[in-house]
Amino acid sequence: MTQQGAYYVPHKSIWPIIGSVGLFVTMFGAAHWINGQTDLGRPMFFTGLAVIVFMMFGWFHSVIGESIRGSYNSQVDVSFRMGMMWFIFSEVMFFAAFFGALFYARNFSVPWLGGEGHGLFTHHYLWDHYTATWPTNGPGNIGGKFSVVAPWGLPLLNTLLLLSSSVTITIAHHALRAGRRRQLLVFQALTVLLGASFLYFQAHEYMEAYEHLNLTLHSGVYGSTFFMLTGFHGLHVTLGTIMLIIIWLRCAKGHFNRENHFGFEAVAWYWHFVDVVWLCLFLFVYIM
Amino acid sequence: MMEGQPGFDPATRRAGVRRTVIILILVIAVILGLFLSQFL
Amino acid sequence: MAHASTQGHHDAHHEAPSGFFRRWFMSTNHKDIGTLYLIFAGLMFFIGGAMAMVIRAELFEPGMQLVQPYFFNELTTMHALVMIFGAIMPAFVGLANWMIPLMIGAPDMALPRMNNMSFWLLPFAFTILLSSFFLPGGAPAGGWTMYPPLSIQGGDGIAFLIFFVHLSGISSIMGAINIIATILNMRAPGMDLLKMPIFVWTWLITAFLLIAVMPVLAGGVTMLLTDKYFGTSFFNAAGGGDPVLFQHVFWFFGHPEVYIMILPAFGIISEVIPTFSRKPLFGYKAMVYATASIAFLSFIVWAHHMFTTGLPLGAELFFMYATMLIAVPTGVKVFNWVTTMWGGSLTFETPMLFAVAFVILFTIGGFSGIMLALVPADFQYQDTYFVVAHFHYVLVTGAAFGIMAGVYFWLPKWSGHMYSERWGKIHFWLSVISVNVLFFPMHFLGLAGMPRRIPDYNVAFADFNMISSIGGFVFGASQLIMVGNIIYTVFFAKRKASDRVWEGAKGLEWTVPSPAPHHTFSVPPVIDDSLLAHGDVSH
Repeated sequence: MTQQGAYYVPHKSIWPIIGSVGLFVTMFGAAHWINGQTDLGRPMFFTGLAVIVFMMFGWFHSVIGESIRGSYNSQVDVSFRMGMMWFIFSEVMFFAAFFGALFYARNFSVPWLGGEGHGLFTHHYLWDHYTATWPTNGPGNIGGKFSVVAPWGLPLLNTLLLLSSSVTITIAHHALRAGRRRQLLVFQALTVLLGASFLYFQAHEYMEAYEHLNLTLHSGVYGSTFFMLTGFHGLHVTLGTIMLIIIWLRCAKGHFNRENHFGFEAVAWYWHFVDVVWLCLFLFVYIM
Repeated sequence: MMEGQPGFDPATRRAGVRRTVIILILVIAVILGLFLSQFL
Repeated sequence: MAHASTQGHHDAHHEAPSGFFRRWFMSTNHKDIGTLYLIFAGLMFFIGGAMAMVIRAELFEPGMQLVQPYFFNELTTMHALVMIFGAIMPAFVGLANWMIPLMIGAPDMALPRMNNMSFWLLPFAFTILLSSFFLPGGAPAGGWTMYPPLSIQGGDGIAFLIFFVHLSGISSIMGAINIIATILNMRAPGMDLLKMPIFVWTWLITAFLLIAVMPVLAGGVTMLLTDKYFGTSFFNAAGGGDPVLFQHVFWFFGHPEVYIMILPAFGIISEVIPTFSRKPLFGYKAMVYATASIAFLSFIVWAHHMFTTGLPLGAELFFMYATMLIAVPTGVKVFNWVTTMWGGSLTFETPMLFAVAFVILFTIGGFSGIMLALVPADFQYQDTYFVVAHFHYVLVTGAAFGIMAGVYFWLPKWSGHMYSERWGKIHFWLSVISVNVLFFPMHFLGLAGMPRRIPDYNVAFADFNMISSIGGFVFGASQLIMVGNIIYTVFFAKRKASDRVWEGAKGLEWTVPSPAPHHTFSVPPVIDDSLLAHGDVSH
């Protein structure tokens, strides 16, 4: 930078094009793979994923380097904050689509199939034996009889785990701002542990559902909404936990100081978002 | 040599308006003629 | 002033563009990336256009002439996807990239590297989509709306379509985040929100719409994917789902999407008309509020695309009235454009011609939209050529004419040369006449009952179809004139454009030299309100 305080416009960068190629290879491979061309699709898919991981290391490496060298002024910081905020908003809308599907199934499609209101004729001509209930796998009994996960067992434990992880990450943040390094590292590690145990119990719950409850992805609209909602949430917790680990390592390396730690805050925002999604899941998928 | 848009000239504009109105009347006449010819 | 400050900032840091690969593939420069977007959009415009030509050739006469019915369905599906996601949207993002930093006095986009990734995802996304033509089972043929169960009963192509939607959705979301961050964070001091050019305002609102609805589409197509390949029952009534659910999810995206494709055009027109009327825009604030109202209403009208799916009566009525409400803010806009011209010192260079044609022809598309919004009438028009006529009036003579007006308007600023006014006018007149020959008869065909997306038709429709096809061929061919004109302007034109280019032009973008240097406003310009179109907030 020649002028102090001017907005930082980075040099040319190879990472965006590598990221684009990575995403392309991943998705092109996935499309071939699910269409049964496994020999072509699977290697492409994993190669693409490797390229994406490589890109992330490279891209974040340059951003972290620039940040440590002090290239970013407060205006750049605001751009990053806005970027993260609007990204989380887009994630909210992504989950909204699946919650919308859940509400639609429960309030409209299932009652209608049971003969209420507009479903009169579908019910009458195709499935007049069907009574609307929830949970259901529909009049076709798709996937066979199943039972549901009891909300006050593992799901409650998972709720408590995620809620306490939100507390620990907040304590870590306060420690970072107060410059208490030891407390920061301990509580950040606790957050990682809580996230990881959530994932462990979630995996346990899935195995339970598949092996003992016959609740699978194929279990009609209940199985579809249950596994897609909790599955995408679990994926986000996984990514969030990886992000927490990286932030923990960066804390240990001393990348952050009291004023400048947007990387930490961005991950904390993301973690809180994942937490809120879980609360909605616990309420609408498990309890109600 | 730099060139921008020529300045606004009211006289040119008046001529343009006259030309446009004449063309519009002709076009409307042709379309109307085509329409009426359907009934002959 | 602002001009002076643009001259003295040749930083040693900013390397001059060097090396083809480094310049175009590794770019962090909003002008280069904007150019890439525009070239890509132009290319896709001709690929999608070629498909339209085949469609019109097949429909030239009744009976089956050129293509197999299934291939015809592939063409109608792919024509829509290529034009919407490949031509119209990238063209607007390209214009945003080029113009927004220049208009608000920013050195570049807020997140320049992410900007490059937004662009480079697109060619790859379209590689995935277009490669599906060569698959077993061919390209997706269930319509661009991908309604199940039809869409998941075809060949392998649907998976490619879904991953294409994911990739281009990621691209759109990143682009939109970048535009919002740029507008909210990068304005030069003194560029208040209510002093911004209208084009910037319309893009701010469009970007918000993009972030709100692209993820919903991603969710919807993901459900489609799992329904076909992983045995879920979202859209399977036997499992308790509902195919109509997909239509709700799709149109919750789809209706805001049509405003994503028209609001930036409103912005361009609102820049062009005042410039060539040599008058400030009438009702600047009303324009901003009207744009915001349209954006809000776009979220609560989606089911007007689904009137014949058997919605409850209350829903039909709600969506009918909500849809007709959109006519109010749109009417405000049309009124303001006309009032801006009223009593102005008008000249009719090519951008202005396209803008005037936009106002008239987009309004025709809006009127047929009101007809379609009426539930009882829509039961007649549903799935006929009347709908095709309606959305081509708003998308071709609306969105595409807006883009063309913008390209002619800003080309001198980008290239530093004046385009050929004579050929611009020839392009305009050929386009505006042929586009009406092409699409106007479709209203009559639709009212008479000709269905969409069918390669053959009753002989009763023969005359109007032939007229329409002739218009289509002329319209397609005349677009080559624009390409020729642009190539001539960029590479061969002798006439250098002045900085201000247009006599009535106002705004920061006209204070920088033509062509705009590689880096502008590295130091925020000092803003003189008299330079701005809306420096005086009172109007």
